[in-house]
Amino acid sequence: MIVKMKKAKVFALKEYEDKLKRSLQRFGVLMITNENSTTHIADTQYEDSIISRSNRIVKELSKYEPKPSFFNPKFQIVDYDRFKEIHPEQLELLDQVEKTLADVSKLKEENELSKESITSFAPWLKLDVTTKDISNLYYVNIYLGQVLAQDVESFSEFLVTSNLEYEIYDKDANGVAYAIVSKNDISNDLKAAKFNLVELPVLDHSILDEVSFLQNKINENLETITNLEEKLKTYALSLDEIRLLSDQMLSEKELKKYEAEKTERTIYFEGWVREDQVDLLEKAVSKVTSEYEIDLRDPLPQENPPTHTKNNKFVAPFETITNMFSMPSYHEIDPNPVMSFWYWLFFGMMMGDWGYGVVMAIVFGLFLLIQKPKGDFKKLVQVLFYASIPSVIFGILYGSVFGISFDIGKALFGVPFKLFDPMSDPVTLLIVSLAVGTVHIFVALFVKAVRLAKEKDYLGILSDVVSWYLIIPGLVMLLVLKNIQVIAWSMVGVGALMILLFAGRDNKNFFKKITSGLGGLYGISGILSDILSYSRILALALSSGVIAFAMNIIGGLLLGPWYGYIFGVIVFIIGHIFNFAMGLLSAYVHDSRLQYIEFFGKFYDGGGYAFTPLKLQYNHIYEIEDNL
Amino acid sequence: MTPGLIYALLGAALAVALAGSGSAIGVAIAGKAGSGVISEKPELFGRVLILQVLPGTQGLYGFLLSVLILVSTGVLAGNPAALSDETGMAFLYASLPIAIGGLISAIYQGKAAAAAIHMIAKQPTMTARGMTMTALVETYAILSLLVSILMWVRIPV
Repeated sequence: MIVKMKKAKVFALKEYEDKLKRSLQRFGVLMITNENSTTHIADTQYEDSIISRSNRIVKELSKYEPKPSFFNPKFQIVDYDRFKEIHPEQLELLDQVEKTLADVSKLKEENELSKESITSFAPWLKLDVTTKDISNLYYVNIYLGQVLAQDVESFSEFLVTSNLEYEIYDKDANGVAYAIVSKNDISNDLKAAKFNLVELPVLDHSILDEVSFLQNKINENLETITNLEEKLKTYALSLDEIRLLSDQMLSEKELKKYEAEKTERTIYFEGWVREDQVDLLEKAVSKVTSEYEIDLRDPLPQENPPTHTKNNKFVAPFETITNMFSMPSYHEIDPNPVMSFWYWLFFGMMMGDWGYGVVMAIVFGLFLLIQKPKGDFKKLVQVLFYASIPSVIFGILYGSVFGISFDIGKALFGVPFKLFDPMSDPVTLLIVSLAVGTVHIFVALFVKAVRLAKEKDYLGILSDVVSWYLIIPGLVMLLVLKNIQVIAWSMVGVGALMILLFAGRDNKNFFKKITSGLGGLYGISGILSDILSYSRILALALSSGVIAFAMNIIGGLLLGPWYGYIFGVIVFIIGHIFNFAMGLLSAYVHDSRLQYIEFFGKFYDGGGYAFTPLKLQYNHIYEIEDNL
Repeated sequence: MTPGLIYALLGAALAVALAGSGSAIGVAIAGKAGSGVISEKPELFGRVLILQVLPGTQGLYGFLLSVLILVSTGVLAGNPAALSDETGMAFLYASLPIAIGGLISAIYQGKAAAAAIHMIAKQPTMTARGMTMTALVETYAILSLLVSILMWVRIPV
């Protein structure tokens, strides 16, 4: 059912604008559409930066929190009185955590540098003079450098021929370390001899001392890091405060999008409100001030109000299937009550295995119960949970459990529940699928008739709906019942005549009327191909059944020796999980397709947009508790 | 082992191998598009994955028919029937619709899926429409499978 909307204008004194906005946000009942709100561009830099900073902190620190398990998930529930106030401590905490994180990364970086230095010093540990002394020499030059292992031989010859004094130190990946003493500047000669100069930092203590100094520093830093991480762990205990901050800022940001229309003394907001929430709107405003005025009116015919669908517990989850196609527009019939039943039924016919049905019920039921998902995702899981029931029913009718042929009725009560086996008797299921599909299409045509009646297009009902109600059963009778051919032919004839006469009812021109009529008659091929499309029910039922059956055979081939049982069971489990997942996906996709194209194609336009009132926004928090 | 049985086995082999190859190509085409999108928008992984596996069903249909042929010829149970040449040929022909229809439709469905993946990269809310448009291609694989099954079910062994 599509909820009726009212256009509301809320007047108040100017000084109450902010309070009014907050109260409207708290109640979440008004979808504000006034011009100032839709045109002005809010500056939300501050909010955005706090949101992204807090989200980063949540990401970094959540690893220090105790991990919530599947069976024990965490739900952060906040009272509205707490939510509405951003405490300065929260911002302080944000700063502190950021500073600590920065300190940690700085120390880690420092350690990386120290480690690099230590490795580069490795060949020079035996150098017994300080580098400061070397650089201060006045009469001789000392060259420090390395020679690659393959060049050492030629370099030794060079040293001998040049008659240079030198000392050899250790070697590493960059080659053997040398210190060479010379009175002259021989840097070019050395370079020619493949001697690579090494720049050591100028220090007034030995390299060995420097290494142990760096090592000490690394250890000290590591200790500081552990202390800081301890500190982060204590911060992580109040991570919920940061999460709260992020969500509070999100709501503040949302609030900034809206601005009232102003006069000298008063302001007003204009927007859509659900008819069943008018009293809530009144309450939201009266909480702020007693000097107010709410002006309500019905939507004008040229206006396009937002859509909000309100359905019972069974139908509501299926709204997500429809909305993925297109939301109903405000003036349309809500297709969900009819569609939901068929979606539910077809899903079961396509899964068609009561083993898988029971698994669906357990998996999705537990997920709903324990993880408590929200929004569209929750609706999707609910759809799958509901669909477990027809999966079990059709599984019993097909006599299939995890691909094993088994009649549960016979086993328990001695009465066969199994109607037919799709694998050995696919033609029966094909006929059933097409028959059910025809009924589905007839239902869609009926909804179309209701819609045409609303538009007072009674000829349309004859040409677009009643005609098919005659033609399709007529054709079936022609095929099946050979003895009442006269009735069958006359049904087809009358139906065709209706289309021929009335399909072109909107055209004044006689020839156009005739061509439209013929075009309408051509629609028979469309309807027939629509009906044929339901053969996918058979294909999917059979494919999940046969693949499960094949997995059982492959697993069964391995049984025998004790290790065969291990592999066999693994094949069973993996094979069935795969088949189960593929079956779910195929059923979801093809069931949707049958609704979107074969069903909605007959009567449904969609094109609505969702009712999105100004309300509190939150991503991290599960729920805000509030006594309105 | 009779030549008829060999024909039937050839049919089983063609059904799974051709339809499976088509699916492999189709899923790969969609996968290439998907990886590109995910590199920019990792949060779309779930939606992209659903679109990517859509061209995979043809392989399953081919597999399905192979298993059906292996069942009715008794190969799976371990005592293959001595099929006449005609019966074997009949099984071979029954495998052709899904083998060929599956092969080609899966490749084209892969292309449609790739396009749909590009679409949801820009419009993530349109996943359902992309899925529907991709699933339209599969209709013809389903019809192929249907004819294959209708042929298979009437072959007397």
